[in-house]
Amino acid sequence: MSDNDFPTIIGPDAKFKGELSFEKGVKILGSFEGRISTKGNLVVASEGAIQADVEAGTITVEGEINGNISAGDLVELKNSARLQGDLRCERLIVVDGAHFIGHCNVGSDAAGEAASPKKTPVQAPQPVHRPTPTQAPAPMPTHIDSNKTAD
Amino acid sequence: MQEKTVYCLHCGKELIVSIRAVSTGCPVCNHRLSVEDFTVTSIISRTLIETCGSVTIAPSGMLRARLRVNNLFVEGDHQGNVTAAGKVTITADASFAGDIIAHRLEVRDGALIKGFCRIDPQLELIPTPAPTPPGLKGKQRNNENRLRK
Repeated sequence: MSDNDFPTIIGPDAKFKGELSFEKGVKILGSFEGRISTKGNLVVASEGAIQADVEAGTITVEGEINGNISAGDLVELKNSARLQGDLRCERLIVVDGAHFIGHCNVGSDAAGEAASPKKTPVQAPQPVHRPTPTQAPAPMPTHIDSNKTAD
Repeated sequence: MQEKTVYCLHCGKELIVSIRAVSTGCPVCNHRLSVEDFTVTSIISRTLIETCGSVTIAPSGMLRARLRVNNLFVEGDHQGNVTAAGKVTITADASFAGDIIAHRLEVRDGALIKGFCRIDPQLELIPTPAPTPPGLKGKQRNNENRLRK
């Protein structure tokens, strides 16, 4: 990838804390803490270190990531990569030498789950509170005349 | 005679064995070790496969077993946890379900993986040995000396 593919670069002396979203691509040379959510490409350079949950289209890791990452397409861990967190993507490339500790789910099923927005648990419909009738009419047997009242 | 270097699965001792050797005994911990290389070309189900050699799962192979090996090369289908002292390679058309604990991992584009991974070249895979009774210490020392000679 050329530098033109990354309109945004977080430099080696930059420290970013917060939520980052972008369209095309970001290259992180410095440190980042927070959350990244995008459909574009993310590259963590060898001197970069991020502590964040990442959702992106393509993620290339040469540096260090502490957090869960999910990619709609490809995750590439280069030989200098250090990833500690869960990984979910459609395609995975791990180069010999990479460090990785975490759960791994690779395949089209995983990518589908990653691409779909996180579902909030559906709340069960609240039971409608109805005031209990003061005198519930007791079911009358058919053979007893309902007009007769008790003495 | 062609030789290969293997590492004891129990104590980590480096051993040099013939390339045609099937098994050997570790002179340090006295465990019997399989040093064979296996290739799986069909559907095989086992509880545990333990070898100081390598296991290769061919594209037609399907292995369901817990593995404790030196190197693992998966081209087919594998289900089960793996502990590898060397390298685990999962090729493009391979499918792997299970936990991987290894010093090195290589995954090629297209592989399907599901499980927990702990990949660290500095990882200590050999469990720390239990304290040996005093009577065995002398025997172990003799074995070490024999190995040095």
